[in-house]
Amino acid sequence: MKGKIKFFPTLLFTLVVVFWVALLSGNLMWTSNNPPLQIIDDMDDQAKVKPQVSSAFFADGKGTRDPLENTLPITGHKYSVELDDVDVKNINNIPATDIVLARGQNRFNIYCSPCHNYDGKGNGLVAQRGFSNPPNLMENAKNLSDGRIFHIISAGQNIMSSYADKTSELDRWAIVHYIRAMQKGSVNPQPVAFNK
Amino acid sequence: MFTKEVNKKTKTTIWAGLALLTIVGVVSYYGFNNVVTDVGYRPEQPIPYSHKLHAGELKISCMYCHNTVEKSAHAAVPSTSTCMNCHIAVKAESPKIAKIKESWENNKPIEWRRVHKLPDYVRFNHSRHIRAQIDCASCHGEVEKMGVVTQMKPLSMSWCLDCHRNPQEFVVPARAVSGIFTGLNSNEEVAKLIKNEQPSWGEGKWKPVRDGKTEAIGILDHELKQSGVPGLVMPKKLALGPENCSSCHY
Repeated sequence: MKGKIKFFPTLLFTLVVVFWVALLSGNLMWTSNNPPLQIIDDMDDQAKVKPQVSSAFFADGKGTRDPLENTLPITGHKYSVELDDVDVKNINNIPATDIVLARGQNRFNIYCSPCHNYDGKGNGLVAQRGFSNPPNLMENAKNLSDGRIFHIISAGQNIMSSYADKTSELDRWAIVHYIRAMQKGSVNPQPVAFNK
Repeated sequence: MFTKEVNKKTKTTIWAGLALLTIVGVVSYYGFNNVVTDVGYRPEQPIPYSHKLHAGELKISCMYCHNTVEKSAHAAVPSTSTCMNCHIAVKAESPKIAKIKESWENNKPIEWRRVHKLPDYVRFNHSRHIRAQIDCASCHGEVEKMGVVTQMKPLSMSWCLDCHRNPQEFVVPARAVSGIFTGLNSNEEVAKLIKNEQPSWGEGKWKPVRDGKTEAIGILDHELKQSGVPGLVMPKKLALGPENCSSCHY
């Protein structure tokens, strides 16, 4: 191998090396709209109904079936309390221990804070974007009974929709406890950690 | 390299053979690797929903929409009614919202395209990982910074096992944006524990050793005793992930 080093082959070689090193070290990524290529499909896609997919087997095309009429989920009951019965039927049986309040804060921060804000005073980030005037829980909800607040979370009120599908009954009671604790000022409302 | 007896034709053949072997090796090893084939999958969704706006700027927790992760194996894509919780009022007249409204009024679900998919012979349980206070970003990347969701991790078996064996090196501890319940511990304290640093109460360092019955950290015990509410979702102990085949393939 005598003679001078040729320019273009050297450049090409360098580019190829840089390309592979960048790719294999994970610093180069191209995106694609197409699903990953399956060269060998080792039963990766099995003919079964998976969650949240459609199914041609049923006339309505729903893979996930609705519960039958007059049946209840094993985890609880469907919320169907009327507004007049809230104090009789919605009884809070769980104690307001620290861990329950921490759970309440966690759930409140996820589901309530977008509109009601972390401190419950309304004016959350979503409310600022045009959700109409959420009530200040520290003032307006002070005179409501626990059962009534539970009812509002479960069934919705005015423009607020029901959160019964997102929160379990226990979690809803934990949220009620947390709102009460915030009203009393016995917890320090904040986005991250539980702080008494 | 070659002695003078080797003629030119043989030399060329040997060099060509070596080059071919290298190319075949590189292509078959990396060409089938999930890092190359799967990472970067970014399907165009029927509605240009931005996680960057909703989770990043508006700070809506992951769990607001993906609310099943804590209790079920499947992390559900939210129903249209979840969108309408806010969009009944916010930007209700925007043409981008029209499709959601249409879906809501006609009771026809929006057909979102799935980004992260494991093979069907793998059982991945979201709830087990979420309740061990492992952040969503560990496997999905920082979705709150993505305009269009992209697969960031290879989701291959070796990638799973790397983390099951050395969680303190790979796990992203629970962050505020995900909404993961960390009990009475702050997110920072959980982060310290997962990274195997001394937590503020000074007793709980865990030993990630696989010795038949892995000794998990004991710090969450005192919380579990305090709960006393059967059925309340509680964070689970941190421990090494299982390594035996039947944990995920059954």
